[in-house]
Amino acid sequence: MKLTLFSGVFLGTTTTMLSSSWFIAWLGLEINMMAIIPLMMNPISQRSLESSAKYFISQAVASSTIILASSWNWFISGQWIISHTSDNFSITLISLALLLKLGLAPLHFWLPEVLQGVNLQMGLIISTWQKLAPLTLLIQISSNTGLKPILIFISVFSVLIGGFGGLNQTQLRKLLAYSSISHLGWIVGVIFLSPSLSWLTTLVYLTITYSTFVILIELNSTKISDLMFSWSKTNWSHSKCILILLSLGGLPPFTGFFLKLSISNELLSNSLISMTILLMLGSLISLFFYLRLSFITSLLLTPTNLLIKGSWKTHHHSNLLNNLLFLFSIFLLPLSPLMLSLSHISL
Amino acid sequence: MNPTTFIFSFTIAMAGLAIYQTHLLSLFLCLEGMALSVFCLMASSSSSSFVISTIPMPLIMLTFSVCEAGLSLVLMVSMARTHHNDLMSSLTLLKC
Repeated sequence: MKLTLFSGVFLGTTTTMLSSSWFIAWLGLEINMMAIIPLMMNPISQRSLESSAKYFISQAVASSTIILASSWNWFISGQWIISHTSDNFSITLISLALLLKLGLAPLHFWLPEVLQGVNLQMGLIISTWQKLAPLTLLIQISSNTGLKPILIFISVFSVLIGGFGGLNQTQLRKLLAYSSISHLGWIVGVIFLSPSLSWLTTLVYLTITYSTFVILIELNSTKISDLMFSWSKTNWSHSKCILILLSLGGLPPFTGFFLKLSISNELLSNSLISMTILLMLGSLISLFFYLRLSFITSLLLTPTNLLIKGSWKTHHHSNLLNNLLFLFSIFLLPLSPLMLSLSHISL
Repeated sequence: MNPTTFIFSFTIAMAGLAIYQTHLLSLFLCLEGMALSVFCLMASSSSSSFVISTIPMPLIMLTFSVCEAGLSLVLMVSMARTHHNDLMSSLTLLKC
């Protein structure tokens, strides 16, 4: 049963990503949403049901708005093709619906609660795979210059809300939700300038988020107090934590710095200076709570029961994909000119 | 029929969804109202257009909307099983 549902999630997203018509894109989004709701409800409990209900309502409203706006565009211009969407009302409504699907401020209120209620594996899928389809559609319609004020406002607001919202959290899934809001704000801020840079940034950010969730799944920790005692569980996990969190925050020797550097470069060369200042200040606030988390995990040895010290895993089955993506999400900064030239982005 | 009418009805249904009062069922009813007005918009547009291949489109859209409605019923039944009611005030476990 789970295989059917996972293949439905995969099918929905690939249908949307490969479509050139709004109708097929809407179909893919619907298939994706319908397949993931039973997966989210899997150990049925009050919390997982509440997150499934909130996720369903927000995604269903966004999908209905997308099909309405594209039907209106069909009535006005006579065709369904995504790259030739011409009606301004339709484009605005579709982009607002896609931003609701992604969870950007001020439409972000469902995301922390939804990520909190599901288990870590489903949280991984919602944070990484589910962002691909709406971002594909947003990149295709973003060449319209009427969207520029909306996208600038939403990206600055998202980064600020992602920064301030994560300050008071002790639950790791809500923290990662606010970090996702903040990073997607950076990604959406550069869509109208250079869509290929936006796509490259998305892929690198999804790798870093995937590695973060994989480490948390391995440590089976959902709160900060679970991370405090992770030094006694698996070997290397607390050092992996600090590396990946500093990469997520955007500090220089790690890959996360390349995201912010290239986006800031692109924004400044188009003279959007105050927007860049606000984005950087907002991500400085996020960096504070990543640093707090990495301090508690790795730089502070919390006293624990002496009997726990020997609970390392003796048969440790390491996954090639997870380790490879972890290496990519930390040590890829020297290869950043190669990545930029492979995506045809000129510096 | 004029498709502007259906944009208006979609907006009214969405307003009804945004101003939910007590029950989850009213939220799902407004969702179905939105789907119905999109169906009427597509049907009126396809009947006044000269492209024959767009005629089955409202029907395909209706099929997927019905699947979505079935999913909302799944959520209602699960709410009834776990929380034993469908009040919106019982969906506050994840707020803190």
